[in-house]
Amino acid sequence: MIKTPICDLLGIEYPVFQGGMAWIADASLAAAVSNGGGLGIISAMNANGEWLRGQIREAKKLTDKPFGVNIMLMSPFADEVAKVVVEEGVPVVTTGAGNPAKYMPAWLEAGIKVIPVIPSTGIAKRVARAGAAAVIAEGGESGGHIGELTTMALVPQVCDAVDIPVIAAGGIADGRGFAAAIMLGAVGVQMGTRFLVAHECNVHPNYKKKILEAGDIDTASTGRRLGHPVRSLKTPFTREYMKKEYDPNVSNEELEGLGAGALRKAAVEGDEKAGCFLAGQIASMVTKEQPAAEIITDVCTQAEEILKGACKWVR
Amino acid sequence: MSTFESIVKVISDYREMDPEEITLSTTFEDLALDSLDMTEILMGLEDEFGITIEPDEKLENVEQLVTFIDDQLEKNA
Repeated sequence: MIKTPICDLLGIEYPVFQGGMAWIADASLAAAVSNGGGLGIISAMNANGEWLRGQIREAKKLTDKPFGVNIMLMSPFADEVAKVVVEEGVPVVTTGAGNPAKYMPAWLEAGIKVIPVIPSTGIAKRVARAGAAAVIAEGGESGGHIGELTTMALVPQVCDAVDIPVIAAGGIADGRGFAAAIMLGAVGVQMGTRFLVAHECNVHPNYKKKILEAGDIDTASTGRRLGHPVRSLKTPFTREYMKKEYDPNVSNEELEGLGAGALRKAAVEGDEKAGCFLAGQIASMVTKEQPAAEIITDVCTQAEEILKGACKWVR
Repeated sequence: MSTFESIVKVISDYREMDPEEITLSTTFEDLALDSLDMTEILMGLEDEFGITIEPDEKLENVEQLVTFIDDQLEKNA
């Protein structure tokens, strides 16, 4: 049984978070992960406060275990959803795409554990100073918006930089990744792509099929030119996007326009031509659909075996 | 040293560039400073001025940064 300080801090059985994936991480998936002993997380994405409120109340019907909400700080509704998590008594908030400093006082006063996703030691230090309970150090192996550093490089440096618990994310698919994260200094892991194929995940079946069929070199990073690179499966959409990204005659506005709505097309409509299927580099290691609870126990059981046998090469 | 001069020093040290090339109208895009670079620079300025610098809005150029820091210094005085 793997127990780390993050379990006591958040009241969860296993130190496993499910990533707040936009258009994918809804109440159903979050509740299933929380019922399975991990920390399920609802993605507030670019939705308004009332949509989020509905999801939170739905999750509370499905689970009495702790769950979180991921707030995308660049959302036009960030101010609104920042209030909703307080009003609805959400115990954990993770954040991405920005600095959560302005919302921290209200969240801390409400007793919310704030756990920002961070791409660098500088940002880790700033959020720790502002009162974050922990940080999620996410390397560029992950799906979705990615930072510059890999998980291997980022996690130990963040562990050195802050005194609060560090959760590793990016490139973790099974117990080997979990065990490696512990060796790097993390006290837990967040997985996105692995949970995408959970039975309780309502993403379009085409999306799950593409993940299950993915090979190791089947993801690419696009959007670097705009300053916010994104990792997704290679598809007609990404190939078209990359051609335009490298064409100096294509403006930044046109590039932004190409990306708008593409994730929704993938996740909701399963559009294999025009959809953008965000996924991490470990997509090829995700080979079967399972209940969320089984994903958690598989990963933790394997990690435990590996950690117990970790000294086998030490003479 | 004025606020502007301190900012120029921190940015030119960070970028290893000639301070003369930085003016009030220089944008952070001109200097190819992304959001991660800006975090490092703001932390350097915090050390320089001894105050916390947490801008609510995205700052686009040196002049906006000077104004923001002067406002913070006044609040902290």
